[in-house]
Amino acid sequence: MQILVVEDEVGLARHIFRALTQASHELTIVHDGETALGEAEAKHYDLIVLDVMLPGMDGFEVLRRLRGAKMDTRVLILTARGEVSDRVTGLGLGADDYLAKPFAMQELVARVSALGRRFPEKAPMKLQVGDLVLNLADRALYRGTRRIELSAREVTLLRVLMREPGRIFSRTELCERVWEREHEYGVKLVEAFISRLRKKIDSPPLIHTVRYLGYTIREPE
Amino acid sequence: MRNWPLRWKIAHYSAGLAVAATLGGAITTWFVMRHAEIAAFDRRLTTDAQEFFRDVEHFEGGRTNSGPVFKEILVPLSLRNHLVEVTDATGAVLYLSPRLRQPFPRDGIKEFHNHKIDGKKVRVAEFSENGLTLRAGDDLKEINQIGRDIFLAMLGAIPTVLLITLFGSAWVASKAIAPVEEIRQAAKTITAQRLDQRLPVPPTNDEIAGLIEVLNATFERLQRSFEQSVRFSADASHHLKTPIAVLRAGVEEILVDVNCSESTQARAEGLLHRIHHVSSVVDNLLLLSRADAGRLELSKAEFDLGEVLEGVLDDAFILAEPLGLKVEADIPKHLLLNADRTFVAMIAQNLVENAVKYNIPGGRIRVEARAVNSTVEMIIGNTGDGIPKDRTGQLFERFYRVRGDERVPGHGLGLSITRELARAHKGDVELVRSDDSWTEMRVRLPRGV
Repeated sequence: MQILVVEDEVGLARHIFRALTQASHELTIVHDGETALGEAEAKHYDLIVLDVMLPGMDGFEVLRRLRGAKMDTRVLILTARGEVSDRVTGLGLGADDYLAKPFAMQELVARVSALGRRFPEKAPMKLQVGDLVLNLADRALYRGTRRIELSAREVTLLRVLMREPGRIFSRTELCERVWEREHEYGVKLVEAFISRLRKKIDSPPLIHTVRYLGYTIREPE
Repeated sequence: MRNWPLRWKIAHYSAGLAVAATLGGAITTWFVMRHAEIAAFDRRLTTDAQEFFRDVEHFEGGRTNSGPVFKEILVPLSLRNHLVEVTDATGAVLYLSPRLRQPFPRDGIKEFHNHKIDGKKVRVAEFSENGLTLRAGDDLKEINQIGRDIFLAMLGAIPTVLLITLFGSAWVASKAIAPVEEIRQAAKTITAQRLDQRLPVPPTNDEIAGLIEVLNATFERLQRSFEQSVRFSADASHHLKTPIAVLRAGVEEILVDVNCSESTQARAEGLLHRIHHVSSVVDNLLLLSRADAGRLELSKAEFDLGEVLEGVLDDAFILAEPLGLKVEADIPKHLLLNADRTFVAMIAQNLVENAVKYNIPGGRIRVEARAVNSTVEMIIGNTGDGIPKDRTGQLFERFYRVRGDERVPGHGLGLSITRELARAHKGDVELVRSDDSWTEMRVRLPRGV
């Protein structure tokens, strides 16, 4: 994909560049709103990753002018504020998705590739990895034909893992995804719930520990 | 009296003053009257005495060589009712008025002075002319009577004076204070969320108008500095997030870098978690500054509190196990609440976290939830050492930690955030009990459904 990244913080822009290039996208990086508008008019982009907090013209204004000029390029906004109002403003102005800083780089890569699909995926009713099936409607989990009872946190955790099989989630990222805000014993809880899930799912193992990196769920080879 | 309304204080002071003034007036009047009456008495006797001597002088054929001749008829009638004595040059008594039973004692003083006769105070003077001496005087019964009457009359007026000034000045005071009451009502509506409100300045040019102008100027400064501090912490939090994002991206790169040794990656993983912690502190500060500004946005929706608590209890069971804690829960199957789900989950998570953290080995945690009329109550209790009585007031303060125990993790924002979140929902969090065996917190939230 051709991606335009608008981010004034050079360090962060560099990390985004590396991560998205590695995911085989072509990137152009600019650091302010005016340049971004000029760039978007001059060349076709599949996606614009737009930081809200920019010097001079802010991200919302860039978005407003883009949509005003009838450009329907997909836009992912990066907001420094996890607040409701920014999310609502951004989406109201026609952003396609948003990500709050600080984000996990892998999350950005995942969101970008989701936006790259021509048709947005319908939210699936069930998730499947090998013979493990999680039914999202009634939180029922099946290993083959055996039904497994799950607690509230276990369902959330398993859902995060099963949405992206094969992706490695760090403990920190799992903490962020499962708990509303930082939990003081987050890491301890992640480890405990993972070990409970493993026991319940039983063998052959599906949840794997990737040393120092975190956990992933994948089909046995 | 300290707690009386100003109106009645002023009324009482005025009434007291009026009574004192009346009393002072009575005493002064009595004193002046008495003085004047005595002077008049003296004058009368002197005139009568002079008249007597003139009559003796001019009495026809009365003059002999040895001096004037005294005749009783020459004593003026007006004198005869008083105490009068006439003596000749030898001192022989020529006349005593009917009321004088014996001659005056001789003391040689001529001017008016007081004498005691028969145990009564008598004012007396001595007049001499042509060998005759007239002593005239009287007791001051009449004058004293007049003085006493005037004094009593004024005393009798005191209750009337008292009542009139009491109610009169209460009325005057309430008229004078009326603008102050208006200020009070108007000032009550000025809160942190409505600091832009100002008091109406009356068109008068009096002290009250001056006071309101000063108050308004103070509110102006207050608003400016409050907004500055709110904006500062909000801005600071925002500007911290981008560098944190950079840090995080850097650390994540090390984590996935195949060229890095395992020990480096292990350290990077630890750092990643620290960054997550710093990021949460920034989030919390931002949240608090929003709450301070009254701009905490709630994204309300209907949800089942039971579901949220299920997750929180799930954590509690896991954490309780290695510590040997017993977790009890009493939560109804469905407890619908229209509120910000994330925030309510944070409230429950914070309190249950504390219940684990400040517990004792082998202790107990109890989580209850129930609907009470139009509110939902969550009660979270735990065994533990309890919060010392003198510290309970500071419990909800920011960065406050009861024991400052380094072994217990946390940054001291949890309870203040919990309270702000509850209050943003028009509810509250309170410490309902804390002794050496049991500590209990209660959250109340309006159901809104």
